[in-house]
Amino acid sequence: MNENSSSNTNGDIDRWLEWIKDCKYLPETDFKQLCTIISDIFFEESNVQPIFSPVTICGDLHGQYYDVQELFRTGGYPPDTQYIFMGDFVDRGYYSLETLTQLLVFKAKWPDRITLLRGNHESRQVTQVYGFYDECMKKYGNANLWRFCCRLFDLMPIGALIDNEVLCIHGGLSPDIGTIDQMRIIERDQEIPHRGGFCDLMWSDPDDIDWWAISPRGAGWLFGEKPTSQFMHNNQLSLICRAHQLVQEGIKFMFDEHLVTVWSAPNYCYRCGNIAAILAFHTATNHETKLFNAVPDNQRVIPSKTTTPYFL
Amino acid sequence: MSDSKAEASTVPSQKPVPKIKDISLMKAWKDSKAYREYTLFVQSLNRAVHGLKNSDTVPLSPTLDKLIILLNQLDSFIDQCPPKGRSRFGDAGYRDWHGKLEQESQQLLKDALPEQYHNYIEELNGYLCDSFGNSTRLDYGTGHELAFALFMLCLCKIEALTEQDSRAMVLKLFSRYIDLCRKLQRTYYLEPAGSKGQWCLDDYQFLPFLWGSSQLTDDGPIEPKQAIDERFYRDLSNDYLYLGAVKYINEVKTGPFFEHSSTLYDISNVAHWSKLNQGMVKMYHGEVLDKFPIAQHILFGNLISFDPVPKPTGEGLFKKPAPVANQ
Repeated sequence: MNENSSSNTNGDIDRWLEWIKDCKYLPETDFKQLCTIISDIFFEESNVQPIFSPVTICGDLHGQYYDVQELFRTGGYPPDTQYIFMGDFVDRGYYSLETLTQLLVFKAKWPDRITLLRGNHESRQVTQVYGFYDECMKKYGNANLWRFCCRLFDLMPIGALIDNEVLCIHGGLSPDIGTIDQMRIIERDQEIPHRGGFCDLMWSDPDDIDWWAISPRGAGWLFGEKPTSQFMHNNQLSLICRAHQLVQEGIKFMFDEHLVTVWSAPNYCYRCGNIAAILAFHTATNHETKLFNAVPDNQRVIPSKTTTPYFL
Repeated sequence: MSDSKAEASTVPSQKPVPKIKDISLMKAWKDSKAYREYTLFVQSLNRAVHGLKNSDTVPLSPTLDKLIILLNQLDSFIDQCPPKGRSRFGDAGYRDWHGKLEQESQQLLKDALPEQYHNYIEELNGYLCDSFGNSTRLDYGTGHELAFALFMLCLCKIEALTEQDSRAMVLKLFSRYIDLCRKLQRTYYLEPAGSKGQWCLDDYQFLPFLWGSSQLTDDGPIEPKQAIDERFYRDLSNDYLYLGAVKYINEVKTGPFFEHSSTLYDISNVAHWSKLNQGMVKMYHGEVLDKFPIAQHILFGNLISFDPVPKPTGEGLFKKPAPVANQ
């Protein structure tokens, strides 16, 4: 990329930053351009991105744009605060497109200051069931942008490793994956498979069991304290951070504080009444929980009514 | 339907099973007898409740009355199966309730139905037990609602319920079913199954909006744009399924209505109830019946048949929907 086009790109990114501040999604051509920029960045990233503290980690967001603004007010804005987002940016909430756009624009502007990991909702199948597909159809009138996003999801890193000792991943462990090196050789550029190691990393949940159990979700596993401590020992980890499960209090430590679930979508699905949390690591062993609540109704803009095709 | 009872009675009752194993079978589902009969059934009930209130006096057969009692009994099980406390969606206490449902349901059906229908109980029981959510996943959605509607269709096919019951089926029986489901959803915090959230109508239900929009008419008490405004629907929500459903959403959800229920917000802009009702029928096909994630769980047996509609003529498969008063 020559200097001229690079400065043009920078101008575009700054324009998009202004645009998304008002919860406005980008015109189709701009969004495609943004996707192209981000694809190039993701392509260079490892399956397990190495990160150095200080860094703040975040759990599921699920399209709650206004609450994501509250997250940044709570944790600080990039580039001053470095972030790892552990997936599930889209589905369920009304503003998946705007939420994803916000994160992608930050990523384009400061690629080294924000890491975006894949979650189980960053997938073709799941977004067609839980809303993001319908949202793209409604807001853009076609599925092109949804296809672009899915292509981008395929390229997202699977995990992040802070200071070589804190592993961040969306779901949890897999009986097929005993080492981080095994995570590094996954062919990640694909739709999340229905079973196997990659699938489990996106879908598994910790539980108060000894070893492994079938997950009621129908994908991934329930994993207990023993496989967790074994995995931590084998990979010389001090902590596993993951998201994927609603926690009423925003954050929940398990297994003698060796595993933590971070949940960053307050009042999930507009009904759960939960608090949200982010976890700021000053160093790998010194971390601080920051909590925040859903943004009140009067701070949200009311969209105009549009026509739903079935009712034309 | 003239021959369906005879057809059904020649084959033994069987436990219904899912048949739409993969997405390639969706075409066979849409071409099946079940799809055709169910579609006609939903439309027939839609016409039957046109302009009627839940509290209107309509014919109520002894069987229908007993089915409402059956639902009351299932409701009473909730008190015997208290919630156990949760960390996310789904309270494990629901498994106790569902266990009790499975344990008691056949006997409850025997109590509710005259003896001549007892041959069908195994088949009916499959739909009844599938009507209230999934005890493994601790979730509930429009697929379970569909199972209950199929349960009602089965009762019609064996003629335990008749055309005379069609209004009461929606206004009394289905309305009681919805009340019970809401109580289950709230008590056990059931996860919305396969929910698109605001991109569909509601996390849990569809039919209260479909049949409910037929209850409301342009010369009735409320306009579509008032139906999401509490000031207007407050005193009407017990009498109209649509308004009851909107009220329930506002009880369980917080945050702005235009965000958590954007489709309902958008369609409140539709000028006439008749237009809204037509849209609901189309949307029910598009978002529920024709969606593989939901269809894959539909149960088929002798009464709800996966066999194709015989070609070229589809006449005589299903009793012609009754002409409805006031139309």
